[in-house]
Amino acid sequence: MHFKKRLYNLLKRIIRYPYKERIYALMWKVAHLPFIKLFAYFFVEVLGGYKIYKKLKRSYGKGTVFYICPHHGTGDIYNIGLYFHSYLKKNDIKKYEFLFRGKSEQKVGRLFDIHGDTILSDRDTLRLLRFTRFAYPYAADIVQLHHYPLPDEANEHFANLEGIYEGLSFSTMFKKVVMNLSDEIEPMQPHFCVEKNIEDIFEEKGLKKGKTVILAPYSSSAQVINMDIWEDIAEKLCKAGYAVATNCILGKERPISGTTELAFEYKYAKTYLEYAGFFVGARSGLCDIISSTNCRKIVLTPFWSPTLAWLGSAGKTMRFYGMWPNYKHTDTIEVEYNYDSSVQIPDKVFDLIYSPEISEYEIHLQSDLLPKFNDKVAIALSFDEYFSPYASVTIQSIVELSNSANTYDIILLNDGISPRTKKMLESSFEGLDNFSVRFVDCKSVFADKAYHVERGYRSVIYNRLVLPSILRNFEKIIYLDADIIMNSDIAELYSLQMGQNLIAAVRDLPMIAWASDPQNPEYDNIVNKLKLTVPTNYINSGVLIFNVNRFNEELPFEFITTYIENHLLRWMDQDVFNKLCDTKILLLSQKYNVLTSLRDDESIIRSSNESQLIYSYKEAMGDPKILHFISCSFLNIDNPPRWYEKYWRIAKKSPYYELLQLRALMALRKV
Amino acid sequence: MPNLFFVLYRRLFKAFSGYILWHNIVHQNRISGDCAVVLLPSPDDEECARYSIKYLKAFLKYNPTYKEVVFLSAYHQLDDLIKEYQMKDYIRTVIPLSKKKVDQLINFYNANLNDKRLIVASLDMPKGRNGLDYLHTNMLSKEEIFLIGLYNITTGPEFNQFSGKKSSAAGEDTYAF
Repeated sequence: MHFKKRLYNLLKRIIRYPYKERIYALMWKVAHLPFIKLFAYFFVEVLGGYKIYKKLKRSYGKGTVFYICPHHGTGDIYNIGLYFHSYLKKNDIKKYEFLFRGKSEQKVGRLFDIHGDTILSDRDTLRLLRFTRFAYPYAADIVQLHHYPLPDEANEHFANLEGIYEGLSFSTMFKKVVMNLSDEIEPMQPHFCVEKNIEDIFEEKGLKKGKTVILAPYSSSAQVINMDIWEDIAEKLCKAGYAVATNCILGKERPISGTTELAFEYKYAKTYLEYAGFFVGARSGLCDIISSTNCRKIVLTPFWSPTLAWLGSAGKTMRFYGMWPNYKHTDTIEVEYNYDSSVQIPDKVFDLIYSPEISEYEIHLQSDLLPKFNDKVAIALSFDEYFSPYASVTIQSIVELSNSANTYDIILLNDGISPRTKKMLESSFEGLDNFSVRFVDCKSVFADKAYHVERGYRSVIYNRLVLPSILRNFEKIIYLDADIIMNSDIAELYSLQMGQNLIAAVRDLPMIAWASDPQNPEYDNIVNKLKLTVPTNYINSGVLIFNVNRFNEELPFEFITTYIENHLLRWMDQDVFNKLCDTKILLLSQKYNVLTSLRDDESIIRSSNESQLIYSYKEAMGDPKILHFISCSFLNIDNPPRWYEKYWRIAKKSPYYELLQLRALMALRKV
Repeated sequence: MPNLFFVLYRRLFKAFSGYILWHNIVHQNRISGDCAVVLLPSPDDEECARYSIKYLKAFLKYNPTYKEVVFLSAYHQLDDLIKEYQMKDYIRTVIPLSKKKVDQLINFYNANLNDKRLIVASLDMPKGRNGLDYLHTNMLSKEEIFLIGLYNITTGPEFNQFSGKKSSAAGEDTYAF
């Protein structure tokens, strides 16, 4: 596009903002100009790194080689330590200094006599490494000891190589990829110290020699198990006569209730664990450090969680970071679990502690969400605590219009709702054998991601994107927004043939009407930004039907999250569906998602360049099957939208009726 | 050893030249967000050039963000490879680059270019990339490293053709939650 036109469009967009925000918008835009970013990067990052480099050279003198593990993690340092001295010997390095990322890492380094007094912060590490890359080959005395060096822009997709083949484990990466050592080189054993007062310490804390279980629930890299699971484990072990202690940082982490607080330094870990006899911990660097100690160790490893510190596919934690693939110690059992199967952990751990022999070193506790009925169709909603009352009306409408000859498998995705809310929602299904309702807490899916939301939308709107991944044993998923009510039996959609399409949805007629006008922002979004093949097929994501297998084949979840991270989307998840499913959307009749709002949609469509859409609109209005009260327009009781009486008639049967009335009154007051 | 300070400023100048070059390439060829730009930085690396063409179709299939590809090539026999693998339909254009221009572009890349469209089709460039180190494991070939690490292909017949003993769930994009 011509430069002047681009500048004009940019200024037009900025002028739309309120006055104060125009300055910020302009500053943001200028700061993100590529050549400004280039100079800022050079003067801040590269020269900042150069300053750190000069300081290191001055402090440690000529001829010193600086080693650094670019990532946080005691497990990484442990694996470096296993082969570090062999590596130094092979490369004839006499003078070195190890730059640690934190005090914990330094303490682990001491176990292997790796000396290094410097601890670099995250910012300094990144600057130093950016400088090294920029100045290459002149700063070659800074060596990164990791198979995934920083900055990571150069790494493309090399993280895919982790765990992709058997034998290509975490430890192998350090030994072979990073240090290029031969198979004959044996790992070095860490030097633990003996805690001479161990007997007194155990006696003081009421712990028993050989019959104490040390629990280590805290992990910076894989925190997935809820505390109540740990409490369950502790209770079972206490009842069976074991003494139970929690390894935690004094004053910062609380011990599991019913257990004794027990803190020890890494150098004494061997003494403590061998005296205690048992260890149960979440997969973390501590598990690597104690891997060589002689006690029964049970390590709990997540199958997958989006909050894991490392990139990769499901099952990677055990394949790549697993205790058996890396250390092959016969007194360690690794238990792999996922969210649903974590409830099995307490019983499993108890059995493993109690049994005299170890028969397997890797146990997989997994339970997928399986269909309850033969039709393998799920009906899913996604909402948070605030939207629960609206979801209850949606659910009530499904129940009201259901047919006893059909079955309804309802999955309620939520952001962590209270048990009371769950009970209230379940009350709509009491006595109904043809209904199944299950709750899936999706809070951790996007917990570490700050996706763009605006105009009052909440981050829970992205949850629908994860549906095909977690319900992959279903053939179809019918997704409904929580501001929708049914006006017909939802089972009508069960028999829809999806073919090769990824989703089925209904076109958003007002949006298409707006997008037909080049002066309208929706035109810019749909035509210029999303560049849809057929802009008049832009769909509304309030009612979706997923073709699960096809969707998972073409759009794996990691791909979707990468797409969202790299694009600023005006209509958030709706734009994701429109763009990524472009040309593979089965268009449903308009009556399956009739938008009812405070707007005059009919006038919008009539006055647009796509006025022929009015026929589809009229047809849908004549026989609406699903009513979508966008932006919760049903709350507008003084100027109600069309069909609001249907909504309130169903709402009367919801356990949240009084709350809904209150919210409608509060909405009235705000106006 | 030269004065590092001057080296850095010379590199900054090269990076800025690389920025101008990148800007011109993108705007003259109207490269949009769904067009990948594959840079072949080495005139001698026949293997990477071959793999970049051989797996181009699979790359576009398994990375649906991209609909077409532009090649920036310091390798001068690329047209022969395109003919050999019959990939003409997937390539919008091939832009030959001199070593000097590749150097400028790499310097710009090292200065945090951060443009997801650009894929440097080399196992050891830019600095920081350690693709060749994976050969020390004796479990992976250059072709596999290229396919998996650069073209992000971890499924399908192109991936399965390699005989490495795959981990049980590797290659499947399944997520249990």
